[in-house]
Amino acid sequence: MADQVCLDRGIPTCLHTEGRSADQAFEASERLFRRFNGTISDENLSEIISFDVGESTNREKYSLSAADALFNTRADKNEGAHYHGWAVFAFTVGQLEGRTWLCDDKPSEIYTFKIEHKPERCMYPHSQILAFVNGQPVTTGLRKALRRKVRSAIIASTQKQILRGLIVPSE
Amino acid sequence: MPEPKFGVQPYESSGTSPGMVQMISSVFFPNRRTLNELAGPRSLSNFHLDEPHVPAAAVQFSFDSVSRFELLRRQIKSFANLPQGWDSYRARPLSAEAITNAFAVLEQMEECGIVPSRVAPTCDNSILLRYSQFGTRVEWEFFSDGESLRVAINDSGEENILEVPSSRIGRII
Repeated sequence: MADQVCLDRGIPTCLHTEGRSADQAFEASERLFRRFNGTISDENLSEIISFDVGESTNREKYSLSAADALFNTRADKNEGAHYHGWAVFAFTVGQLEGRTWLCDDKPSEIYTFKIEHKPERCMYPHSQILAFVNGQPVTTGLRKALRRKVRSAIIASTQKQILRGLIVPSE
Repeated sequence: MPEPKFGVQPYESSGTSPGMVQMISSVFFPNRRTLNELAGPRSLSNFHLDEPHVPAAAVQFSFDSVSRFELLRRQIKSFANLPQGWDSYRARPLSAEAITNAFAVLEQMEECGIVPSRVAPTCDNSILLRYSQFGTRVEWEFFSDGESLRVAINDSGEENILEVPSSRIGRII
């Protein structure tokens, strides 16, 4: 059963949430996708992603391909709002969840991350980043030095992928 | 094919610019012509970044009438006019405080003759300012809430991250 609102936005039926509940089971090897303006070069990836609390990604498990991240789920398909020419940054769940993070000046604060599957009406794979300090949820902005540290580590890792030249899938 | 909803093209120094510099925060809107298409290349002297309806646009500026640092200041100022969600997620226009802090460091750089290699807005709600100093790559991030980071990056990519309070902005580069 398709969601007509999502169809009007040009989103393929398989991505509609349509009553499906969230699935919080993630494998460490599962990739997470985040789109960015394709004009930004590989040397400037630090500009295209934030690891603050609540940042959005799409999970691989329920995506047809990384290119699903190029759908704009908020605009009518006739508005020309698909992200043609944009690229996708991919990293794995394990890169974020599989370790603890520290700021050098406060080693007693141990930060961990978790990915939460949080489906949106027209984008079932939608997920978001959660952060914890000493096991307690971080609800306001995560410390910027830590965001920078995480971002740089993931961008520098060999597991990340930069996917360019993707074609926005059609219905 | 439809165009992306919008995007941002930051300044990057080519190092060999013959007198024109490709600017600045180029915001593209769907089904709307850019300012370049509307008017073609224009000199900075008759272009206003605060022009209504086009918060910032792709424009080629002449160096004849204005200094590089003045161009950079105008570029940074234009980041305040970015639309909500300009990164297609939840990035916001940059705050006056972030811009003021960026100006303060840029002023120090101008006095020292250090030209940034890149100035850009980031998805982390900051202004990034990058340059080289004594063989070290330095990146500043000026956040909208007034906090700032100075990151020194060595040849092997290791980062030394320093949180800089507002009271010290403009006193170190």
